[in-house]
Amino acid sequence: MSSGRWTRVSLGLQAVLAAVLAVVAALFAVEVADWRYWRVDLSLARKNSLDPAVLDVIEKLPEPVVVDVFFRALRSPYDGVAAQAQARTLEYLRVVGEARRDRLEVVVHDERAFAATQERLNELGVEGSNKVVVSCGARKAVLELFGELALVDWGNPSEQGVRYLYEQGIAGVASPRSWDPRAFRPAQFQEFRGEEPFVAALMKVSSARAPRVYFTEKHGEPPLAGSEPEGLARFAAALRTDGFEVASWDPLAAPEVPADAEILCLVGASQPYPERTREAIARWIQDGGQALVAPAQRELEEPQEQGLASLLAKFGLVLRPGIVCQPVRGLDGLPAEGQPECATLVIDDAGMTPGHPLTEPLRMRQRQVQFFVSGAFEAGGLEGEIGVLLPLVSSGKDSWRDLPPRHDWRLTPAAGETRGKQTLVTVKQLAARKLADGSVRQGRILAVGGASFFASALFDTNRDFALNALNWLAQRDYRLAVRPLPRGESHVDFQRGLARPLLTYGLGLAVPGVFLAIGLVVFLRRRG
Amino acid sequence: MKGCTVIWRRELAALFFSPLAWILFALALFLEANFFLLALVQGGGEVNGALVLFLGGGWPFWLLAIFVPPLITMRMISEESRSGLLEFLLTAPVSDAAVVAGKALAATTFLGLLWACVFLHAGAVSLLGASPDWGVLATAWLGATLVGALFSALGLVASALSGTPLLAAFLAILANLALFFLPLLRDALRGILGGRVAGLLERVDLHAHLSGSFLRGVVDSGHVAFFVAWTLAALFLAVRTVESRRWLG
Repeated sequence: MSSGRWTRVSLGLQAVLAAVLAVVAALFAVEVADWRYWRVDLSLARKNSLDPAVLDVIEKLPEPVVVDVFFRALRSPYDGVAAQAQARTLEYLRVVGEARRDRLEVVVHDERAFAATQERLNELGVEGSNKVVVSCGARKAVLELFGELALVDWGNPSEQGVRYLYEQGIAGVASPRSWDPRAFRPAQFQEFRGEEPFVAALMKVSSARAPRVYFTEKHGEPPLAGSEPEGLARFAAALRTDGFEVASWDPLAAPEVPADAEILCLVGASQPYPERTREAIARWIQDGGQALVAPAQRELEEPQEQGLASLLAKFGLVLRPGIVCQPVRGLDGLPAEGQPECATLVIDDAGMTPGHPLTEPLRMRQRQVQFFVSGAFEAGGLEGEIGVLLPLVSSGKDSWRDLPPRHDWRLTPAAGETRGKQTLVTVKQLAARKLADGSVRQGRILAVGGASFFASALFDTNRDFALNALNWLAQRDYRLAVRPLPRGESHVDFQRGLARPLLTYGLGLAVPGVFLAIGLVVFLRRRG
Repeated sequence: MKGCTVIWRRELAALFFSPLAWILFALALFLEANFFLLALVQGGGEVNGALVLFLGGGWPFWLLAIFVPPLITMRMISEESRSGLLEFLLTAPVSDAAVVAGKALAATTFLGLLWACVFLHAGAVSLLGASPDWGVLATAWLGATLVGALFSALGLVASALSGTPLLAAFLAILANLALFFLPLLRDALRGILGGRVAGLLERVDLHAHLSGSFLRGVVDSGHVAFFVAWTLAALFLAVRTVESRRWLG
């Protein structure tokens, strides 16, 4: 072989060796970097520091709370992900414990001190490991590390491994019988979810009672279970997490309001209640009951003589027919009407009444609420109960109440449909009344313009207001809070602001055009 | 590494004095703006999710990341070699490593400026009353720039190996596609290639390292080291390939 060919072979071998060396060095560097690392959280949500809303909850705890941590290492190959989940949880609990040491104590039990750990477990009446127990006096809430506080994808590494996890009782692990030898996947730490379940546990143990909430049924209401976007499943689930007991009441089966009801929810009934039921509900509210009322879309289209409107009229609350609409902005930047988006209202702090416990927390944190097909309320009715009517959420000045021809929404202001602010959420507080048993109670009605406000489809936006509404009705003001956002969210009004035309013509055409023009100039100069 | 800064400035000037760079900018901005608007409409006007779409949070980013760096780097070594300019450069009192590093920095700077156009969108929505999460944008931009650095380094390797720019671009795009898709096919390939190779693929999973920290608003030294290590490995290969050219004559 000529010397030239040997040179080429030699250089080729050197290149291959260099490639292998580079890959090995990179792999080694990546492994070393994963052993010891630091993380800096620059996000708006600031998961490394406690959210003010969580601090509020801790601040308002009626008694000090003890958090017992029982962690145990898992065997290989799960030791890594388990350690990661435990480390994240301990880090969060450290932040929590430091935030208010006088209100909350975090005790981490050493698994090696078996006797002491077991004694405390027996005291709490808890079995097993990898749990966090939040206790306040005699009340406690048990949180599972895997599945509640941290999400781990356990993968499918070996039959032995699957059996081990199954025997550990870890939630979410498939049975060894369903193990597939071909579907090999290592375990992987997915997400730390600690804040929400932990706050829910705090709320659960800090309350002496669980208020009972009844939703009416069998009158065309949206379902409390299921995955329909117009259903109330997410609302009901959130209430349970927040420490409420949720139940259903069929007025046809039992005409009187259940005796243990603290809050009655009349949400989305498209069929009228019988006269006897309406009278029973009215009596119950007059005797100090708390009611949440939200009409169905049908009631806004065709006000029914015996519908919700007639019930509200007894209390001086008038549900006006029609849907509240606001114009949207088209691509030309001019207000446009007659579009389905006109019936979707996004209300920010400008539309919320300041100073009220329900709206002030949302205003302070610049949150929004959203309505889809909402009615409006006014004060009126000579037969109305004496009391105070307070608007809480209102639409903008350019909104109007679109009156329907039957099933034909024009969504365009016509004669008789005047523009102006419309009250979308209002609260009526009745005069305090002394009952037969000597107690003094004050009935309240919180009226929301449309049942879709509480639907699963809008629940992400309306969750804080919806939960605060029920807590306020249950007179648990200490639980009024605005939860931390999963990440910093901010909205631009794409429907009604100037955003759409500015962004479309400005960013979409003008800016690229400028760069294209510069490129053309460069091209011509080079040619010249 | 003397002369690296000179090479960097020279290459950057060459990029921006070429119409290709401006056309790429215009095209990227047009795509970004339209996908941004689409994301805003679909997300109900939520700006932060829409903004990170072009910083690693969606396929529009990967579309640009896979194809733009090869177009930037394809001429850097292969064209200069073909025109004879590379020999002049290599005989200058500048090390091969400085030459490669300078070109890599220039490509990375260009891509960093390209991704930074998202801040124009953030500024626009900020003027319209929204409050973008600047922390998340900054970390996502850092992550996107690191991805750009890695793909640029691969592009330089391809450019050093190839005799023509087109071939260099083709090889670089193939390498980028492999790096993008192989970790996604990890589970499917495990049965064919075995657990160890599949485990190796986890070590080059760009998505996991990008979404695990940068897109969440977190700077994680482990994830930064991941991108830096692989970029340096690719640059090392590029330097060795350029040296081989010198010896091959």
